[in-house]
Amino acid sequence: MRMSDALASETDRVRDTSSAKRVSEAEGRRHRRVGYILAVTWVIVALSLYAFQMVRLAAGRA
Amino acid sequence: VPEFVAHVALAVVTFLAWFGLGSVVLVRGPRVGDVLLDLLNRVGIGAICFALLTFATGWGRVLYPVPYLILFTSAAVVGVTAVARALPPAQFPRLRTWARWERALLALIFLYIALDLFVTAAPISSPDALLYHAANPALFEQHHRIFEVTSNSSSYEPFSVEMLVLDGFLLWDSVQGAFAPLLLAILAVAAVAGFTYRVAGRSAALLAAAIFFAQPFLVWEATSVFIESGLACAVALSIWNLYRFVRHGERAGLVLAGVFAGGAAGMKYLGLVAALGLAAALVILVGKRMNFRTALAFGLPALVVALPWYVKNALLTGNPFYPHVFGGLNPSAAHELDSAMRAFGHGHGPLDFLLLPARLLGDAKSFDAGEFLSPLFLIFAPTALLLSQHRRLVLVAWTGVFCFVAVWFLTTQQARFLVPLMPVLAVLAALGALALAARGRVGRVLVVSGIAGALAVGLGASIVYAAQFAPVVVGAQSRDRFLEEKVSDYDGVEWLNRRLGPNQKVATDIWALLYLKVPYTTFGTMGDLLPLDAGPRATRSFVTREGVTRIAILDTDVDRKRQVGYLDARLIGRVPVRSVKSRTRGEFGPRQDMLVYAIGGTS
Repeated sequence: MRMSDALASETDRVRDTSSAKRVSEAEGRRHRRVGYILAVTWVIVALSLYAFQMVRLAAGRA
Repeated sequence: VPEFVAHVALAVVTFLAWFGLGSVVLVRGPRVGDVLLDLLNRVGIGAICFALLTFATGWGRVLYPVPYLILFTSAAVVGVTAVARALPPAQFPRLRTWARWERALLALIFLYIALDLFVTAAPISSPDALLYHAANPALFEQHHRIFEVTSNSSSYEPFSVEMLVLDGFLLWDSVQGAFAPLLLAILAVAAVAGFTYRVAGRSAALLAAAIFFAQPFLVWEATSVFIESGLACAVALSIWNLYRFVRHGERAGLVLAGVFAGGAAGMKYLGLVAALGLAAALVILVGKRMNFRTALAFGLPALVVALPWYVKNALLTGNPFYPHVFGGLNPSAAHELDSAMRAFGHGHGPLDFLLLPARLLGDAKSFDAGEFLSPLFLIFAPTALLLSQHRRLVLVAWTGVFCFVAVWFLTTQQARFLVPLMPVLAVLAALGALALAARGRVGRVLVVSGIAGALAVGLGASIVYAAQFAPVVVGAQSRDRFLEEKVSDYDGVEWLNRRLGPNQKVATDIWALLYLKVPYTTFGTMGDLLPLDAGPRATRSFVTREGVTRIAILDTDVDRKRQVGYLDARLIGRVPVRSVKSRTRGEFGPRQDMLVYAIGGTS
C-alpha cells in the first residue's frame, strides 16, 4: 500500500470512529432520556397509588 | 419515668456490652480496613456471641442471672474502654455546614429513635410476643434452662434474637428483653447509613437511613419483640462486608459477610432464605474468580454460626427445618399452618405477582399491616435501575431482591417478612431518588414532594401509634389497665393467675401466655399437640401426657368444647373476656366467655 493510500485509509478510520462515537453518544443521550421519562412516569403512578391508599385509609375503608 | 430512664440506660449498656464482647472476639479475628464498618462489626459480632452463649448456657442448664451479669458487666467495661479508645481519632460531623434538609433528616431519624425507645418501654402487648417471642424466653428464665416447647411449633424456628430477649429477662424483666430487637434495628440503620455514605456520600446516606427507619411500619416492627429487625441488621452488615471483599479484595470482609449471613440464618428460617440470597449475590459478583477457598471463606463461618439451631431441631425432631420443610406436623396442623401462611395477600398466581408492586402501594392492608410500609422503597428503588451510575451493583442487588420476593410471594405474604430487604431497597431508593432529582426539574419536584409527603404521613402515623403507649410509660395509666386494653383475653389470664395454684396445669388456646403465671400448655399453635378433629382417645391421651388439671377455652370454640366432653371435666369458671382486634385503633371483638374446667375430679 502506498503512503497516500495508507493515510487515506487512516483518515477514513478516524472519521468512522468519531462518527460512531457521535452516534453512540446520541444513542446514550436517547437512552438516558427514555430512562428519565420512564422513571418520572413510574414515580407519578406510584405516588398516585400511595395517595389513593392513604385517602382510603383516612376514610376508614382501606 | 425513672423506670423508662433505667430501661434506656441499660439498653445503652447492652449496646456497649455487645461492642465489648465483639471487640474481644475480633482482637485476633478478621478485621476490615473501614473504621466505621469495623465498629459496627464489633457490635454485631458481640450480639451474635451473646446469643450463642445464652443458647449454650441454656442447654447446659446454667441459665442464672449471676453468671450472665458477670459476663455482661465485664463486656460492658471492655466496651467502654474500646469506645474511649475509638473516640479520639473519630471526626464528628460539623452540622452547620450541612444543607437544611440534611439536618432535618438527621433530626427525623433521632426523633424516631426517641419514639421507638418510648414505645418499647411499655409492657409487651404484641400477640406474637405474648405467644412465644417473649413468652418462651420467660419460660426459659423461670426454669434456668432451655428446653423443647412442644406446645408451640414456632419455637422450632432459629431463636438467636429470642436469646437476646432472654438476656434482657436475666438483666431485669420482659421490657428490658424487648429492647434487644430495637437495638438491632438501630444497628441496622447505622449500617444502612454507613454503607451508603461510603458508596454515595452524606446526602444519600441520610436519605437511605430515613427511608429505612423513618416509617410507622418499622416503629411497629422494632418495638413489638419481632425478629425481622435483627434480620435486617445481619443482612445490612453482611452486604457491607461483602462489598469490602468485592471492591477492595479484603478476605476479612468475606469471612465477616459469612458470619452475618449465618447470623441471619440463626434468627429465623426466613433468614436462611436471605443468607442463600447473599451467597447467590457473592457468586454473581465474583463470577469466574469464584473458587473453593472463596466459597469456604464465606460458607464455613455462616455454617458455624447458624448450625446450632438446625442441629438442635434435627436432634429433637429428626428434621432440621421442622416444621416448614420435610413435614413433621400432624395432617390437621400441617393444613392449618399452610392455610395460615397463605391467608395473607391477594393471591399467588402469575397475575398477582405482576400486580404486586401496585398492590403494595395502593391496597396493602391484606399483607398484614402493609399499609404502614413506607412507599419510598417501591417508588424510588426502581429508578436506580433506570438512572444510577452504579448500574452493575444495582442490577445484582435487584436480582437478589427479586429472588427473595419470589420466595416470599410463594410462601407467606406478610409485609414484615420483607423487612430483611429494606436495607438494600433503602440504599437503592436513595440512589434512585438523587439520580432522578439530578436529571431535571420535573424529577426534582417529584423527589422533593414525594419524599417530604411520605415522611410527613409516616411521622403522623408513627406519633399516633406511639401515643397509645404514652400514658402507661409516664405512669398516668396502670400496667393492668393498659394490658386489659391491649391484650386479648387478659381478664381470663388474670382470673387463672388468681385462682390456680403452682401444682395445677392449665391447657389453653389463649395467646397471652407471657402473663400466665401458672404452669400451662397449649393444644399446639396449629393444634399440633391436639388437632381440632381429635377424638376421645387422643384427647384423654393429651391430658394424661401433659399432666393437665385445668382447661381454659373460649365459649365459641365448638371443637374444643366437644373434646372437653370426652373428659371427666367439671365447669368451675365462666369469665367474661374480649379480644383486641386493633391495639392502635382500640377496636375490640365481641365479649365472650372463657370457660374453665377442672379435670378428673380435682378442685
